[in-house]
Amino acid sequence: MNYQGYGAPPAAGGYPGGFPGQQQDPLYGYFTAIAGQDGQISAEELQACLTQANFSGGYRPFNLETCRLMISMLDRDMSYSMGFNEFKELWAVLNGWKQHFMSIDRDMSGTVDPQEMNQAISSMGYRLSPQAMNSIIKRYSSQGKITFDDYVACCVKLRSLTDVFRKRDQAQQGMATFQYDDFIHCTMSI
Amino acid sequence: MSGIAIKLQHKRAQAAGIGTNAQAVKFLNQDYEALKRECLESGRLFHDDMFEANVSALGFKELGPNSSKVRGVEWLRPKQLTSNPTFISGGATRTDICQGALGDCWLLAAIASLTLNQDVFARVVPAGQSFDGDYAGIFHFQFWQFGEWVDVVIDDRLPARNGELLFVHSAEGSEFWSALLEKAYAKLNGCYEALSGGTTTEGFEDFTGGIAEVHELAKAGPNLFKTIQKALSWGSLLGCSIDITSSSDSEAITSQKLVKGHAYSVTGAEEVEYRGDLTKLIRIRNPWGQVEWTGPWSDGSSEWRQISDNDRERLSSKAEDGEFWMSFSDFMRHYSRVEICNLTPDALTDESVNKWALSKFDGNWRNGSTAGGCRNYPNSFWMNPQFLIKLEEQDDDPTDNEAGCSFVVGLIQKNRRKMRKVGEDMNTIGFAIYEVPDQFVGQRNVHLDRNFFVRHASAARSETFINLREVCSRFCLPPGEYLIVPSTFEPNKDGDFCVRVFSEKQAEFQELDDPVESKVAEIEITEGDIDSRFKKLFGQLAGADCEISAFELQKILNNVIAKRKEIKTDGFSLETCRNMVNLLDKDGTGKLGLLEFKILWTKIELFVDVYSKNDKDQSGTMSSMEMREAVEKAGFSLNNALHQILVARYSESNLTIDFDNFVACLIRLECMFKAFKVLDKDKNGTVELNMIEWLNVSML
Repeated sequence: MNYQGYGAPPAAGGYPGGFPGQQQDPLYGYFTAIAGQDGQISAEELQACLTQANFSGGYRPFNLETCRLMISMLDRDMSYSMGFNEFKELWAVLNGWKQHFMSIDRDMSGTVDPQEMNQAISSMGYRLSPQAMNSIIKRYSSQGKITFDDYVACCVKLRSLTDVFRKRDQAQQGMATFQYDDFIHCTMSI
Repeated sequence: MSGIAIKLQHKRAQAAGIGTNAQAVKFLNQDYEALKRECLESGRLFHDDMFEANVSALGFKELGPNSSKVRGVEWLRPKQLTSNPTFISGGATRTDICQGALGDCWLLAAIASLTLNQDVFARVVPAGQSFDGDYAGIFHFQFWQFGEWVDVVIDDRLPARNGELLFVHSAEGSEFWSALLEKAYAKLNGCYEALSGGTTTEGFEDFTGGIAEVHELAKAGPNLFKTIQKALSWGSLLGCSIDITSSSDSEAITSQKLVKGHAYSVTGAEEVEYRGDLTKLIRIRNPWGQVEWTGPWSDGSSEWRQISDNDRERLSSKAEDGEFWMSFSDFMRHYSRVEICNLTPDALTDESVNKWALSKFDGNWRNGSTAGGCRNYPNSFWMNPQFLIKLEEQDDDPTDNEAGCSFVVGLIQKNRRKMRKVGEDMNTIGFAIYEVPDQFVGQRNVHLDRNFFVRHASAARSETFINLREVCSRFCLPPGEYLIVPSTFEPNKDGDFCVRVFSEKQAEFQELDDPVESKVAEIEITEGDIDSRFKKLFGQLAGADCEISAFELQKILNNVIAKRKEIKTDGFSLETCRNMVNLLDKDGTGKLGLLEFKILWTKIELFVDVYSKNDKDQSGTMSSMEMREAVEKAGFSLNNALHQILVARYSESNLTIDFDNFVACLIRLECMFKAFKVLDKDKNGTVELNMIEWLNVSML
């Protein structure tokens, strides 16, 4: 049986590998300006960091809930904060999603319509039922349009939930088993 | 007896998968055999991109990029340092470890002790590695890390200056296993500088998986010499040190050539007949490879001439190799403590070999939910993870007529050395042990609350709260059920830990935690139950389509909440309202109808009540610790892991829970419990989902 959905976001380009030390990484400046001594940032700090780095460009900056989702996507020890390596991973993933969004939002209006969103999700490799797609689009649209912020929130959630599913489908058979408390843990953490 | 000890070691080694590379966890997913094969096939020496040969591998402050100590450092392979390097020459011996420019003598003392026991050594340094025939510039070592063994792969580029190794080196200068072992351990902990400063017990444990105890010589009992002898004969690893009184004392040398604040190894304990009496002697090794004791029984001292030729030959040692004898009484006078890492805890007091039992649990402390601090903080102490131990059988041969069950508890905090480069270090940790009262005996699905701890004194506790990696204490208690509560001294300190119990008899040991349950009553409302005033209000709010959107809901809720002066809030965010609409919307319109809205309204009225009642300090906001009780009042029973998740997802960075996040959390919690019940058609507590089903239920 083949999977119908194990999409990964498009790979981000642009950064050469092999930095000799993290101090020379251009992202480190954005990160340390916010993170300070402890080398970790909270959701509020991540929001400030991405806004200062002008990540969203012409789009509206990320809201706090989206930043919380980003941290929970990569936070593996439940410390509810993010280290620099996780920040780099996030930056690369976000860049991929941004390029994708820009390729769909051709008129640069800052939003995409439900049909475009449907295409975007499908092109990332997710094969959702019409009902699920409908629910997602209702959930992430405002007045029938999807903003970049909500698009990213949706992508983060899809990626996190896909990771959770894969970890529980160790035999690669397309079925995952959840115990009661495990189900509540997974759904409440994302 | 030592033969049986070796058998026990082998059994435990096998059980732990020692000596089987495939069973040790591959650190950073590097497979030694595969990487070596790759290098040999391609004809290139191994370059480890996981631990680059540059300044970041050296350190972050004293050995950081701007430090003069790293100037002129180049990374060289042993073949570049000497014409004929060897991995191990003539077997691993104590003189293979001479300290370099790093303050990791605690580690080197443990490495030196390692060479005294070839079985233990072979676990850490897998055989068959060399600079001969199939050399590829790649080596590996295995370490115990908080309950599991990890296999660490390295390349053999070592930091050097002017053609000499910067850090640990052998006395002859051409043997490299100890320098490579040190590099592997540095990689495991992040960098070389992370190894500066520590206790020998930490190294002992990482090399053996055993449990280490510290004996303060000022308070030692009369059996210490016998304890040391037994420990050595059982293959335990031993270290000792002299306390310093100020930082300038560190590694200062006394008039009799002893070094303060420095980790020595204990390598022997013997008795000889001297002037008609039995005299206890102890043999010590200084990892510097030089600076030896010059008092009685030192090399060349006159005492040696007054013992029998046989004894002298048996105890002879070479000059100036760092190893020396001294009388046990001088040892007690000059040294401060002995660290013993026992591979079998029974060896400490038992003449005969007993089966030992080991129980182990991992846990964590999370700021705001499970990092309760010590008993000095009664409002939060109960939130720490709780573990139950059931002692059933008394010891076979009690010591000093003390009947009871002997056990050793070790609480070890994980991965703190890696945190040094960001300014963190060991937390101050300890634990308390409580007798479980009758009404809770036999229960496992319960997390004891504040009231229990306020009313009961501890039955025992760790000797002290201290900022060591591990706190370890020995106890003897009557049979019964006991609760072990590990904690940091102060609350709200994040950390991960492993708690181990070594017991002479089999003991049941498990975590106590609340079950995950929802006891929220279903709100059954029909249109006929709704009074006309509410209907009229709904009509005004909903407008022509008779449905409330997220925008409209936000306005309504913010108007209502503004009137409740006891709650300080920035108001409901649009995202929270959209989440609520989405979760409660049964017909898929993306909006709430009258029934849905009435149900939500009823819940929010309850939540306002719960929120303000659980804001115990009347601050107008709820702390994440207050959240734990509030969630229970709202009808949910959750375990520690879930409480941690809720705090992580819904609290602000200052660990308060805003009212809209509180509501969002509870609404989502209830919907997820309901979703599971719907999916679990045959009520067996398990559901099997494909990807589409999983995303359908969880994307909301």
